[in-house]
Amino acid sequence: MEKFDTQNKVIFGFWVYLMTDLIMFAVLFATFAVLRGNTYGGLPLSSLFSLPLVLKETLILLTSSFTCGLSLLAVNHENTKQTIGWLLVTFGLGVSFLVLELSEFSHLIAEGHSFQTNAALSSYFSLVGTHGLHIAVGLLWLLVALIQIWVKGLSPHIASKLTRFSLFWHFLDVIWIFIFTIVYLVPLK
Amino acid sequence: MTNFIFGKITLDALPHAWYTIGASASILLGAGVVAFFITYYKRWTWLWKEWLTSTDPKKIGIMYIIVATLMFLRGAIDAGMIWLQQIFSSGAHHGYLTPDHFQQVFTAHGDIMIFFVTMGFLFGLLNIIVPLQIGARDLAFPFLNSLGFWLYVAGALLINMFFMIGGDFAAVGWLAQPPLSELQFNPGVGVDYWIWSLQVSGLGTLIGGINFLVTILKMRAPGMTLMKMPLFTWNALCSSVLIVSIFPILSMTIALLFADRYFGMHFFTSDFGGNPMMYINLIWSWGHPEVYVLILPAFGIFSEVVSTFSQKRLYSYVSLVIAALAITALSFSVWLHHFFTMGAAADVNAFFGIMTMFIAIPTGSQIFNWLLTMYRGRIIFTTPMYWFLGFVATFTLGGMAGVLLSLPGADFQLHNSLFLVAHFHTMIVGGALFGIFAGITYWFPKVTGFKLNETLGKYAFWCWICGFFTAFVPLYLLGFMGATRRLDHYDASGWQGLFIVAGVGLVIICCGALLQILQIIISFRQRKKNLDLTGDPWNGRSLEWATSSPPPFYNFAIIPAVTNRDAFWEIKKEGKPVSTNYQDIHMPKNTAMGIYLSGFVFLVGFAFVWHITWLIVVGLIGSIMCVIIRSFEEETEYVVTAAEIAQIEANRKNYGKI
Amino acid sequence: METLKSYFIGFFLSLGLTLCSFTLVLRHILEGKNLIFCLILLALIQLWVQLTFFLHLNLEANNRWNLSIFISTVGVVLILILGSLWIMQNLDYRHMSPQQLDSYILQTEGFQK
Repeated sequence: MEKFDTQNKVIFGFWVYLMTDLIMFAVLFATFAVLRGNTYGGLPLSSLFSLPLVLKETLILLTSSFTCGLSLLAVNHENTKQTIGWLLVTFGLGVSFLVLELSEFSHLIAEGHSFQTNAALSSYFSLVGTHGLHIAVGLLWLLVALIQIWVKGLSPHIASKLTRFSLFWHFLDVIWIFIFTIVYLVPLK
Repeated sequence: MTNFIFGKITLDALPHAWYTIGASASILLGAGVVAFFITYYKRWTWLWKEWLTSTDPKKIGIMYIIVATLMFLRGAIDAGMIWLQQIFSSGAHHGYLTPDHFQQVFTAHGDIMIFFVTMGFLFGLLNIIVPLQIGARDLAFPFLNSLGFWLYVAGALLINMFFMIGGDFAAVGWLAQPPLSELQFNPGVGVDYWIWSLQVSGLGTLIGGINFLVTILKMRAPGMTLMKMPLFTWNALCSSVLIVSIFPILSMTIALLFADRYFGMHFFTSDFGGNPMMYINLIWSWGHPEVYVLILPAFGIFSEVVSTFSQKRLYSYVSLVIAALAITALSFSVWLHHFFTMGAAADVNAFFGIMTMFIAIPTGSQIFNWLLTMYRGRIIFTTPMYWFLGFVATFTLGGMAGVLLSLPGADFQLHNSLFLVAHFHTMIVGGALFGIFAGITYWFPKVTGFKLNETLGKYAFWCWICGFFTAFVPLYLLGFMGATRRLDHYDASGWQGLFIVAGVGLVIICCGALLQILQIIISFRQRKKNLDLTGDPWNGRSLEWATSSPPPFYNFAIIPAVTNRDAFWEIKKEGKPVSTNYQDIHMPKNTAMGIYLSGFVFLVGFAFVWHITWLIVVGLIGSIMCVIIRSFEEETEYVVTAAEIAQIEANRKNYGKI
Repeated sequence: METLKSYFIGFFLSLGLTLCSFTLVLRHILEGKNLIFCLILLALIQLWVQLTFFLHLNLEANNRWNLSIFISTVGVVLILILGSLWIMQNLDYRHMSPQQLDSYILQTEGFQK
């Protein structure tokens, strides 16, 4: 009973943390919404993006969220091999998402649209970049968890950690829904 | 090469002005004296094992209060410097501070008093009292609690660091509003110190807020439903909800300012499409709820104090809870009243003005609850009660000034005047700080085992309240006469007299503070006379009085079952014999990881201030490694067996008899 | 609820909704306010899908606090974003030069594109 309570508490605490993170993203969304038109004479943001690339990123992230869920199911069935397998797939998808995003960023900067160019680009880079930073942290976390599974096996300790990780990963997917909708799809008035 | 190793640090950064040399010398001297005594009495291991690495919320709470007291001295010196300048800097005289130095002083004063004094004291009291009041043995996340405290300390170090390396603090006002705080107008490191000190301590506050929220929601004693929680806990809960909702805004807003300064971005710059007004909008959507973070726990303290010393149930517990919840909800809808004058249209200003008037209703209604609790009570006029009555006077005055300021039309006249300065000091000193003093006096015996000297406490109170009105009523008047805030010099000779009166008030307040220090020293020397052997010196009503003073490290040998609102009052009335059917309990182990992690975070902050890239990398890798190492530790708790508890409990009873 | 089925439902629904959003824009099916409205609606539906099928947020007793905290956070987020937009747009409007204001009014009233 006591163990269950502790896990419940830890997961609830993590949920509260995710809510604080949500508010941080809200600040970035608000800043983006206010500054998106302030290009200081530069090209409007929407003309800079390649939507097929964003669609690719979205599908990759969505699939990784799905495989992350599958790995959690494997944890609940105490199936170590499947857990590791799905986590590795999630990791691979996460890395490819990050690579795509970074290539998009470097492309923009190479074309002369860097985060220093104007306020609209600053807010774009910071919003999407903060999401990317979260993905990177998630990947590091995943790596450590994989090492822990490899060293210690699927202990309840690690099961709780993976539950929190999957919350984190799904949460990032939820944030991405709003990023692709508001940043990439909704046209500027 | 030197640029690579030291970043922007040059020899000029070492102390060379009178105040940096003086401050550095006194900090080093103070630290040296403390270190000498610890070494002399061979207390280093004890200090490390029993205190610094402790995860016991009672000890962390005491450490919070000690750090907050030290920062209070620092902030008070700043206040004295501001007043001294304003007394003399009239007409042909220009005072003893340069305008730039004066700006640094009032910036530091504001930041220190809010972030490190009031928040520090509140987290101290929350740590000590909340677990006891809800019948818990520790907080939900003891390690995170220790980490939060050490991040707060790291932030406190960063805000004082400029004395030794840097020489200049931010000269931009306590919220560092751009474009003034942008690189273009403030290329020095002062603003960077400001950013990182608030960023690091804000992170600690956020962690603390999450911790208390989870603790209060998930760890209450069996039977304690939400509507049976003591009011201090209720207000702590509301305060935590606010912290969790607003500190992310602060962190992100400051992070964007940092990005402007460090990466050359353009969020709040005055060119390249940046919008400084967005910063003001964001920072105040943190800033206004923040004042309720400060004041709500004080309301909770007064609720406890008034019902205990009126020896009565609180008048309409439910309406007090509703008031706290209403304040929590409404506090998100008033932030624009801090910048009515920024140029919004009448509809926007009117909306926020009306919401501000609304929020005064639940705030004011609580005063009636407390007064009606006193009505027909058998009141004992102890020092906490004095603080409460003083609070009613100051808070009502400040509240009315606040409602006046909420009228956009009046605000256009009074904005940024000394009237405003007087208003928020009335709220924070007369509200939050008086609450903290009441709380410290009230719970002092619980923490230390002996009561504070009542006579000196009352003298201190009279000094504070008289000094307070002498110091701040002139500021209200000066505000009406047109004196703006942050004045380092004025020509109107008619103001000088009022500034002198205000200065006299400050001296009286200082006497009060000295009397409080004297009170603690004398009470400690006469502690044998004032021992609290029962654990219940005031005939209290809530669970913290159900255990001994000071409580054992596990708080309660047996978690009490709660059946009623005034839980301990009912237990006393029933008078059941105390059970000795002890069971094994799990307690968190001490850990030094919070200190190491905060140390690395401090390095990250310091390195960003001075652009030392290698140190940023070292700090980041160190912090990440600390987190990873901590995540490998599974045995973070140890077991105290029933036999050990029986032994400890028996010893404690003997102690009481001696 | 945490079954394979729920993850599959969530995944395919999200996939469908995402493709809908992108198709609307890439094929230029809708424009202007209608497009914005539909995109936001699709995003909100997808939010609901992911909360239910991936994050398992529901009304079960041991989830109730998670849900309450989530709802109050969403409230804060809405106040912050909508409030900021309201305040800042109002300020922008009032900081326009007479010429900017003229063209702004002509645009918003539909006289000019």
